[in-house]
Amino acid sequence: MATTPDEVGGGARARRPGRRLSADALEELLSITRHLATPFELSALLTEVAMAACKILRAERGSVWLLDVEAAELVLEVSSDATQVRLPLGQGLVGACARERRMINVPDCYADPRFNPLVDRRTGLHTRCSLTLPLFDIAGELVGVMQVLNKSRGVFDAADETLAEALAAQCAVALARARMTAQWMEMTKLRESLELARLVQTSGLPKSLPVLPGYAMHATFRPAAETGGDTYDLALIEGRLLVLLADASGHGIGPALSVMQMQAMLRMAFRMGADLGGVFRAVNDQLADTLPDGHFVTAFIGLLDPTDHRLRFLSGGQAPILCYRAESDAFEAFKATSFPMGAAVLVRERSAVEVVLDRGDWLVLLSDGIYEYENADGEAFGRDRVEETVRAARDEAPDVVAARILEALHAFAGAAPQDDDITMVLLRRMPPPSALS
Amino acid sequence: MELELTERDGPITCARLTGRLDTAGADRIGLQMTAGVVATARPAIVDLSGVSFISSMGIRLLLSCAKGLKGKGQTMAIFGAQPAVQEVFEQSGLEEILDIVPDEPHALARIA
Repeated sequence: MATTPDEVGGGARARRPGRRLSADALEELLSITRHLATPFELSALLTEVAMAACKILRAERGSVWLLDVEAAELVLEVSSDATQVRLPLGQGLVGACARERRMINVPDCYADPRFNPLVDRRTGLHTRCSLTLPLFDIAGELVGVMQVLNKSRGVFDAADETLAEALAAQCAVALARARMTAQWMEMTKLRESLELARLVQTSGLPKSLPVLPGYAMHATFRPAAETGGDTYDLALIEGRLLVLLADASGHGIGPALSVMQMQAMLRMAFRMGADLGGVFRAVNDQLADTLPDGHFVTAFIGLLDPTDHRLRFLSGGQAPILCYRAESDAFEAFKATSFPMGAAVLVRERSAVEVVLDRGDWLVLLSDGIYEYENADGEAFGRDRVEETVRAARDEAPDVVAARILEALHAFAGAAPQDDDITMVLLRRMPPPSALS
Repeated sequence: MELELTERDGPITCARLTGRLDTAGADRIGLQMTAGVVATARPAIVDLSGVSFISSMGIRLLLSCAKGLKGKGQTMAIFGAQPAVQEVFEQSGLEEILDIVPDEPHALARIA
């Protein structure tokens, strides 16, 4: 760090008339400043500061306390001996220094009513004298307190105060840099985690949709900026169509991995001829066993037999399940057959709901990223708007219907940001050729 | 989103939620609610009469509190859900695993 002698001392706050640093002291301080420029990790930096304070001020102990704003406490971050100690803001000399935001030089600690002997009792040290000073960041906000105890000979004097203030000013710069580095690393880590989650999520999606005579289908997946845990699957397995729409609670890599694992389990189980109810229960219980507390996956799992057009499904917490009936020109809505998957163990196997898809009927599965998408007034898009849009576009191809839903959603939400994944699975049994215009 | 925690005779914990229990709401009160409801390991009643909306993150918070308490051998009853919130509970099959009752007397009876 480039520091000119004029800057040492941190400006007006530190410099007092008649208290110039001696040449020796300045050299020592500069050498310490160079040390402080190296570590980027907070605890390593603070250790350097505490050691430097001891050395430059000929003190027996040095410690750095950081301010925990939320808890209104000062936390002992670095000291040569004590383990972590938390002090309510305002308690002890350290607390008084933080409250008053000025240096406190106490020649006889046990004679000072502000002194808290508790820390002495924990560390076994007998504190004679102390010099305690606030650490400010560049913006002038208090970030912590530095304290040195027991000068090797005598008590801390005016020259020590000047030195300590110069050190504190350097320390504040180093602290600010360490915090910014930590934030930057945190953001980088987060971004990498999100990118990985997105990669996991999209790699599990089918590359192409199956071709099933008499049916048309479409799937859309639009991840949110901070990835959610949606997935879908449409796959022909042993002559039946697997239809899956799943949404794992939470954001990041965890949910993305849970849904991908679930999707893989389903494909494998159905390929091996397992029955829907048994598979659903096994997957549910497996998730209940492996997901962290309070996490779950809402999922619609359906199997369509294209020979008799029977769709059998189970839904763990995924709702509404919409079925547009061409003959009645109305929607039939189904609720979940059980709670969100993995939220608890399934005590008994559920029987699947059976729906026969007639010609012109639609199965409309949308993730809550659509139903719960809010406009600027905090109003959700909701089911009625979905039904209205699908009904108006019912004679279009599934990809057109999906596009219309997105258009309606954007018209409704305006500039409101998308904060959850958007996933749609649309399946239509084609009407007889004569009905096609 | 606001959370008000009170202690009643028993002793039991009463958590009163007000506002939108969406991702931001659940983030805001999550830690406080988990600490106040689960960590105390007492039976709890949760008043949702002031909650106008619940999303999956809100459900997750309720589930994790109920599960946490169950792990400590205690129960948690939820009451006062507005129609829109009640609809979410019904549609997503949550009534099976959450103790959801209409009002406070029922909630108190459920955890007794």
